[in-house]
Amino acid sequence: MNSATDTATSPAAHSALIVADRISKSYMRGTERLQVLDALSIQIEEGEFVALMGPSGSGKTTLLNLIAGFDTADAGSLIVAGSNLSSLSENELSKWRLNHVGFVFQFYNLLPVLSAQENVALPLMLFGMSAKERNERARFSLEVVGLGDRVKHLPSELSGGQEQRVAIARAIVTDPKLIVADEPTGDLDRASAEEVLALLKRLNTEFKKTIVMVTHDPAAASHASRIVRLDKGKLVG
Amino acid sequence: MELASLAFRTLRRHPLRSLLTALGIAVALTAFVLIRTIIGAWYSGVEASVKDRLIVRNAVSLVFYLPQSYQAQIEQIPGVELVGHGNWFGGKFRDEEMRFQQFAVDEHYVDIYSEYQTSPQERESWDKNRKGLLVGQSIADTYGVKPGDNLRLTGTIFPGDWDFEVSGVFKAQESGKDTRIMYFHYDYLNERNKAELGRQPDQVGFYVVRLKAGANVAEIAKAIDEKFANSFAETLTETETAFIQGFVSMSSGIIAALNAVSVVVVLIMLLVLSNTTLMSFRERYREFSVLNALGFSQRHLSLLVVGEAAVLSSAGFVLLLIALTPVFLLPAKSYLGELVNFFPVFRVSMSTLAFAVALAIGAALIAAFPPLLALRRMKVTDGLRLIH
Ligand SMILES: Nc1ncnc2c1ncn2[C@@H]1O[C@H](COP(=O)(O)OP(=O)(O)OP(=O)(O)O)[C@@H](O)[C@H]1O
Ligand SMILES: [Mg+2]
Repeated sequence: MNSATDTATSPAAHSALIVADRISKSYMRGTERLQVLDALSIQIEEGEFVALMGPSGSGKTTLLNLIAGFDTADAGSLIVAGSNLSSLSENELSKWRLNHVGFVFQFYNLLPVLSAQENVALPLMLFGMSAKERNERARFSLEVVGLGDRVKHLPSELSGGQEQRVAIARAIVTDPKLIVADEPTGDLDRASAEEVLALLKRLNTEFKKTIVMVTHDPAAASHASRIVRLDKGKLVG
Repeated sequence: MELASLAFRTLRRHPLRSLLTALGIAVALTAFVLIRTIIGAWYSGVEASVKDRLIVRNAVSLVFYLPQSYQAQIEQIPGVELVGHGNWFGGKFRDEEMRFQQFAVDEHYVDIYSEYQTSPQERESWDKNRKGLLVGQSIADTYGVKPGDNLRLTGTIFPGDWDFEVSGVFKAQESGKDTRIMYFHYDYLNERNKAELGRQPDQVGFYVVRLKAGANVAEIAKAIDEKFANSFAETLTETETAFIQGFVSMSSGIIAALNAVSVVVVLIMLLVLSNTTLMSFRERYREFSVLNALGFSQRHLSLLVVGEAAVLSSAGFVLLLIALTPVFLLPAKSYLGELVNFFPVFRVSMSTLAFAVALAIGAALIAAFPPLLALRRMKVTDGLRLIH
């Protein structure tokens, strides 16, 4: 489509990891159409750590879901890691997520029947890797997040902060360029939150991960390299 | 593959539920297989019957006799090769009732039932001995009876003690055939009937007719009945198959009920399995959407859903096989007890087992269907939005 040429007019287009061009998203609530994102444009460069802030209901999660390929925009173009997400089929999108994004959410979303190591190794199953290699990589990821001594623990045997770190280990195990996080510290106490934030910061600086993090917490946002504010589906400030 | 182990893990989360589901499937499959086998045993007489052998009986009812004089008249009908006759004796042996069939027959009768084979020497010795008795192999095995033994039956229809001498043991040509049968001479019965019991002599229970090769079965049956039409003992002639089917269909109400039960049992199995798969899917909707978010495609997740149902129904099938081991390994009498008299040929057929396998697979696929539909409609964001 011509959206590709539109973004090419932007000087940073060649290097931006995320290029959203006038994307819109609305939901039907009953018979009423609720415009959540309204022709929103944004670019995020590779290596950035962006904090997405704004009042409740402003569309932060909606935007993050579009960027992560969990959902597709109604209009506009969204190119992430070189792929035009709206042109991908359901299956292609699954595969794209597997290769390009790791996610961390407020609720840790670990599988309760699997140990920490097995949870982390889960996405690697889809790469056709040997069990041995999967386990090694999972263990390495867990060591990066400081849980090398908790590999055999079930989620129910871990603290909230530890569970969130397992989720982070799972997000990085496939070595994606992009990590999206939706209020990753929303359910944690101050100390655990600080650990998680420091970890994200380290992934950004040391491992060169691009991070987009939704947060309400100014202290959390202070770890970011850029703060983007959203209100009523539009960027502000 | 790994998805299978994930399915296993998931089922282990609710061990009791998984076990009960597998047990439910096993109970349903076992009930189904046993009912099928009972029905099969019931019909085995029909299957073993010969379609071009005719049975002639009294048109009024089986309990009325026919004159022995009919034998010669039937023999004259074109297409008829050999005519024998039999009388149901129904005696007790060692004070036990109905363990096997006892017939008072003529020599033609034994010739016509050529699927039961006696050695020429034993046959000759039976022919010569007025009190001679031919016993089927299963009776010989069960009671340890051998040629030369004396054997006493206590008559119920023909009162008194009846002494016999075992002349020979016959085997069935095919292994599936029932040999819980005894034959003795009609003349012995007839003479004592006349002399001691004061019954009307020269009456037979039924005739068996062997036809010549290529004879028209229906026409000959009609010719026989026409010959005795308007006589004091009219006949009803049927193929042996129809005759036995008549017996079987007397109990057709029971068979219909059993068939209905087997269908109900299968439906229950489906409900049990569907309930578990759907419940398990609902509970883990969020998990499925997390897997989807991680990059598992719809196809992977579908496999996971079907895999879970398949693991459960396979477990059910394995339990079925365990439940059936006695049927495979032990003699029928040990688990059927007295019922063995009704089901002389009680064997789980390969086709019944194959049917059970097909049912287990079918049930897994059908039970996986509702969660698969829900999966199609699932969006990654739905699951991530849900809060515990
Ligand atoms: N699937 C959906 N169906 C209907 N409405 C939705 C759906 N998802 C989001 N919305 C609505 O869209 C608006 C934006 O939601 P979103 O979750 O993006 O907000 P948010 O900025 O993340 O808010 P919060 O800070 O509370 O998480 C809200 O009014 C929400 O109710
Ligand atoms: Mg939100």
